[in-house]
Amino acid sequence: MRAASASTSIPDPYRAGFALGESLAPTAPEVVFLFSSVHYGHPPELLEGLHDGLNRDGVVVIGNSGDGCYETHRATDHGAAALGIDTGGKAKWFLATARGVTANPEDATRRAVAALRAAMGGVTPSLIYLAADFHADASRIETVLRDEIDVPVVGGFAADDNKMAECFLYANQETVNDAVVLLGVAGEVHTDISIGNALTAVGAIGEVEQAEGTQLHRIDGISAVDFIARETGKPVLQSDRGIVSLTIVDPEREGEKRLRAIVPGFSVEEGTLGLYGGIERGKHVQVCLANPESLIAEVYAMAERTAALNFEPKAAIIVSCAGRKWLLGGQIEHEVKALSDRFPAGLPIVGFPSFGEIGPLRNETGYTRNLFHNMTYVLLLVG
Amino acid sequence: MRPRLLSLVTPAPAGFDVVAIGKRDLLGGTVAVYAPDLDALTAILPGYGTRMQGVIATPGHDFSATQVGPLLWHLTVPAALLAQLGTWVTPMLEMVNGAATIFDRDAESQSSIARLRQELGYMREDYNRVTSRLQSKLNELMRTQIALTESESRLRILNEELERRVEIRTSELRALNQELEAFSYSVSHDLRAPLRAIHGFSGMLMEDFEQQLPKEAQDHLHRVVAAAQRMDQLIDDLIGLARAAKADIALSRVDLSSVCLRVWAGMQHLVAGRKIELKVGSELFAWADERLIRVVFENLLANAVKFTRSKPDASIEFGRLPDASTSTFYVRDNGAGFDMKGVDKLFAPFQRLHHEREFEGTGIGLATAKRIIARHGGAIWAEGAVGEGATVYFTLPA
Repeated sequence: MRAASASTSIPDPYRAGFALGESLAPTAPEVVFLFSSVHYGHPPELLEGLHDGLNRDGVVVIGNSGDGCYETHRATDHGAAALGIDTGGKAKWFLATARGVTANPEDATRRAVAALRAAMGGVTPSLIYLAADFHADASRIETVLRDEIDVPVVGGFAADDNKMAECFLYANQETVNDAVVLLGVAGEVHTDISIGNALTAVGAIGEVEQAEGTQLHRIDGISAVDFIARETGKPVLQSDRGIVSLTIVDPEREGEKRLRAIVPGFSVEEGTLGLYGGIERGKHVQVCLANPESLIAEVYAMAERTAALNFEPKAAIIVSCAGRKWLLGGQIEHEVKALSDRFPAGLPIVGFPSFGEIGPLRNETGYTRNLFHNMTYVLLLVG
Repeated sequence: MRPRLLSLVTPAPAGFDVVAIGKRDLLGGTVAVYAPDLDALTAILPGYGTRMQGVIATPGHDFSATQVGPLLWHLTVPAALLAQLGTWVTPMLEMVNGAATIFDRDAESQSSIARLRQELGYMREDYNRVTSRLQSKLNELMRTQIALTESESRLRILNEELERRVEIRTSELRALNQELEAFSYSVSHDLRAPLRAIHGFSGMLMEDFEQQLPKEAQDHLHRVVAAAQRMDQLIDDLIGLARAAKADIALSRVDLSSVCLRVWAGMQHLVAGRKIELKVGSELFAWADERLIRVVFENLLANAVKFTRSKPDASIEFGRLPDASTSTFYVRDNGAGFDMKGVDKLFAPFQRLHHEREFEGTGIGLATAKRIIARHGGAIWAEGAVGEGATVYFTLPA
């Protein structure tokens, strides 16, 4: 297996895509992961440029827009990054897309899974990579991935530059939105998923009494905003995204720590809180506070743990919550640097700041069910 | 990637390649294109001016150079100079390559500035919202403060009015009490003289003429003597009660144990022939007026002696409760006791819980004790049960 990564800050979408394609072309990739900021006015041209630069037929492309992008030696707000992987034919890559994920997340996810199974002709994938539009209620996508899919699903939700306005998904030659895109892999490829979620729970646990989709209205007899203010002892701010989250407390699933981050522009007047994924009525939640030093330390610890892998990583994909980027500011580069320092000989890395992450957590037997997260650092290693 | 020199015109200028130019050629890197006119570029890539980077050359009568896009220049080249076009554009393309890097960075900077503006916008919204909320809370606090001040003012006026009324009433009551006490004292004294006459003359009558009187008259005479004695006792008690209310208080450190024993010693005529055990706690001190506190002991011990009359092994105890926070003393007996239902009447003048036939008395002793204890700033109360004795508690400054 060989892999290569490239990034660009060229503002023109075609020229940017072409530059990435040209850089990856010598690797003759079978699959390309493409992540970009939302600044490209006409994102289909990014794909067009990429394919023209690759100058190669049959390359499977998956990716999406993010709140910037990560590449082996940089984390940037603006530009595009790509990772090309060539297994020499030892692995097969299949892509499936389903639209309408905003209106009916469960149905779209099921349709995408069915299309992927059909494309793979009955072969079970060893791993599924997911890209989805952030406008969908991610917790409803989670229910399908969690309860109906028994292979690890990893990935994240496309993002924009924190305006919560639009996003793009890349699927082979197409740029789509309001969709879920799945990439299945089968064959001789090793993967490892690890998730960093080092946030500290504070205060009392409250019961969600009123919620609607991704809007949380009342917790513990008071408004959601007042609940967080009560438990943290300070007013809730838009600039708290990245700092303040809610963890879903499920005593029956103690190993499944799930976080939900708050969305900027919430309605303070009404006390309602927007989340990057709903929490159902009746669930119990607790406020979590993030500490930059803890987040960075955990990322370095995760990089150190790669020494224990039973395969040699050839490529890495990072899906990291945009809230972490907001919190870490200039220190966000540590999310890439931790890994590039660990592999000084060069490990191609690519990734993006997301509006929600998907992945199973580690447990004693391997992985938990597939879960939706916020404020997490999802690391996929491929070798 | 090295800049490319491409031509849409045949024959091409020296150094230029004639190719079927497409979008990939125009945008794939820095490029110089020799074209018959600008429309030829528009046909390949609409909006090429803002997207291409490099040089477009077209035939012209005179040589000219115009910037048509951020990184694109248009040259018109006379046919006579066409052979040198390749030489001229090569350094221009290198310059464009350099400028492209700056242009890309500039675009990135613009994007970063826009992002900073957006984040500052969020912070401004947060600031406005928090300060607005704080202002609202502050206003609410001020309104509450004003209301509180007004309430306090009203309350102060009401209190002052109340105090004024209490003062008037107290003054009136004090005057009435003084009048009443003076009246009681005066009546008691005034009654004593005719009572002595009745008692003296009836005694002389009994002594000198009893045997000469018929039996019925003798009975009447005995009743007169007994009634006179009872009235004398009643007058004594009333005078005691009045003194207890009027007397000046002179506080000193009083050994109550010693007072109790001395009072007991003076009551031996009452206990003659009876078996009564008296237990007195040692070294019980309090701040009190010894003269008045003696009256308290006289009343309490006399009651104890009286109500243990039917007990063959009577027991009376004076002590102090072990609670160190207050100085609560008690006098306890194992006598007839009383029903707690009547406890409220116990310390009221002339109120009695036992019939005169059972236990004689005027019903003034405990009222006197209460008045004395109250004048010391203390409290007095009693507990008991029928047939199981009684305990009278009182507090005094330690």
